[in-house]
Amino acid sequence: MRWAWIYVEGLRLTLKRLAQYRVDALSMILGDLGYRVIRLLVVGLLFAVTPQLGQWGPWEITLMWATAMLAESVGNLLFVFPTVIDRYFHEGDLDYVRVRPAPIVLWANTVATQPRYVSLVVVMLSVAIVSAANTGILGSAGQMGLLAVALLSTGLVFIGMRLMLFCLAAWFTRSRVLSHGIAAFTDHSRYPIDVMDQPLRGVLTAIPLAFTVFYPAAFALRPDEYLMPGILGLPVAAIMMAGGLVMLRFAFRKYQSVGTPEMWGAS
Amino acid sequence: MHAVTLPIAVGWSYVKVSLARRIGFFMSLAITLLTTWILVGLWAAIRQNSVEAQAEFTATELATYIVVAQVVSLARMSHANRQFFYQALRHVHTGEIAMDLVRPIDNQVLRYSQWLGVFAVDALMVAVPTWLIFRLTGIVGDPHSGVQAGLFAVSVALGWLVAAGFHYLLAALTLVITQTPGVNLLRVALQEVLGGGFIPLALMPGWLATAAVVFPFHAMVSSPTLIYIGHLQGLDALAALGIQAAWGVGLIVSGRLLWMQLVRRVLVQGG
Repeated sequence: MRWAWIYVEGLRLTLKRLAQYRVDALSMILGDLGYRVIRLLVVGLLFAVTPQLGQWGPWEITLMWATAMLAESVGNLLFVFPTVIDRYFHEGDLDYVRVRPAPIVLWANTVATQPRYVSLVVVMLSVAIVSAANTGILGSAGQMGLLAVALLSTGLVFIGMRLMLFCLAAWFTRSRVLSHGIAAFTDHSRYPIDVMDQPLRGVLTAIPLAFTVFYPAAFALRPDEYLMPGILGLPVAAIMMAGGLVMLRFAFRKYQSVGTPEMWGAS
Repeated sequence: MHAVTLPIAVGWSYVKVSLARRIGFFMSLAITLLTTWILVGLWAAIRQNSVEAQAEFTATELATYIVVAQVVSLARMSHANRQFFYQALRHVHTGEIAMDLVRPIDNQVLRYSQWLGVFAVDALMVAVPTWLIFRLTGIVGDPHSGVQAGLFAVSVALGWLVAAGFHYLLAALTLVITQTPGVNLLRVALQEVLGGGFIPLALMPGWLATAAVVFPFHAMVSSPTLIYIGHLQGLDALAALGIQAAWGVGLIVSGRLLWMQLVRRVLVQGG
């Protein structure tokens, strides 16, 4: 319990420290926020061309995007460690973290979190609430409960996937190219997969990016139709987290403190 | 003589370095293929219910537009698209910029040469294979004609010049802002949307299509793609090439002026 307090205090102090570099913090906040908002505007632009996408309307797809980005933002704010683990491996900095008075994964979060994640959580939560109101599920306690489950499973699948991907840094010097690519691809996979062809649906379900966006949100929006994929979201999240933690364990064993001559910034 | 041989040597060295680090390009190829596959499926679904899209593009034209736009897009999160930025940032943070400033080659020529080398490898290992795979599966059609194919090649080269110019402006910003990744993220999103890579400019609301023309992004993606599918032909195509060239030259000049202003503020101490 002692390190729970250290964790919260560490997060607070890091956010406070970074916020003092006002221009830097503001440029990161506006840049990242602008990036996400433009992604959401694209959804609006698509619906200026077509009245509906398959069986989905604009607010339903906005809710899918907002749910995914909210889960991702909360994950980044509280558990950003997976996305910076490669830096620790390549620079040999885990030694420094190991002697801190909190578990490595928690301490690493406290020094790597950023103010922009706070702004993203606030904005995406607002967008999710507005979308939920416009889809008519805000008044349904049952569907909002399912949306909360969707958020949880989406967040856990994200974290599990990231842990697996970024832990590859323990073996490969240029693992960041993989994570950059997956991040970009994740954005493109946030549309309803039922409008796509069967092989692509299979790929997105197997990866399992469909469990980070489409199935969880569809489960909350249309529980009768998407009951099974929605229920499957939680075991998939558990499997991804377990896989990520196993990878992390192996990665820590592989770590040798020497770092990598080729620094992560080069990727 | 050095003015010619040095940039070539720099560009060639980056071709070799990029080829040595080819895993990044294989990854970019896989991601580009999957992204393009998704966008083709998405736009096929959109076209089914869209009167505007049906009026503007045949099904094959639209699929070809989407694929070619992804092929020529330098906005994708590829190695070529990232390295210019992180390299500039690292050089400022570590103080390596001191070495850049004493090299026997102009900084702008150095950067353009480096990016040209990386772009050549990106074209060879990501763009061409992506086009080829979608061409072999019959999703994408050939260029509208032989002349259009030639104009397309020129337009892609000019699109690269515009992208390089814009990249140089952002790289110069690393001299004054330490947390520029946020700006870079915004650039990627703007480049994707206003470039016409996600949504053809013809299908955007009028005000946005007009706004898009004010920015240089359409010259990177939309112009070569429209030339490929034959929506820009003859004088229209030549006018588009002229606009691309004007943006390319304009960005070279403005990038140079910005660099000359900002480099005076550099303190070579890293940090």
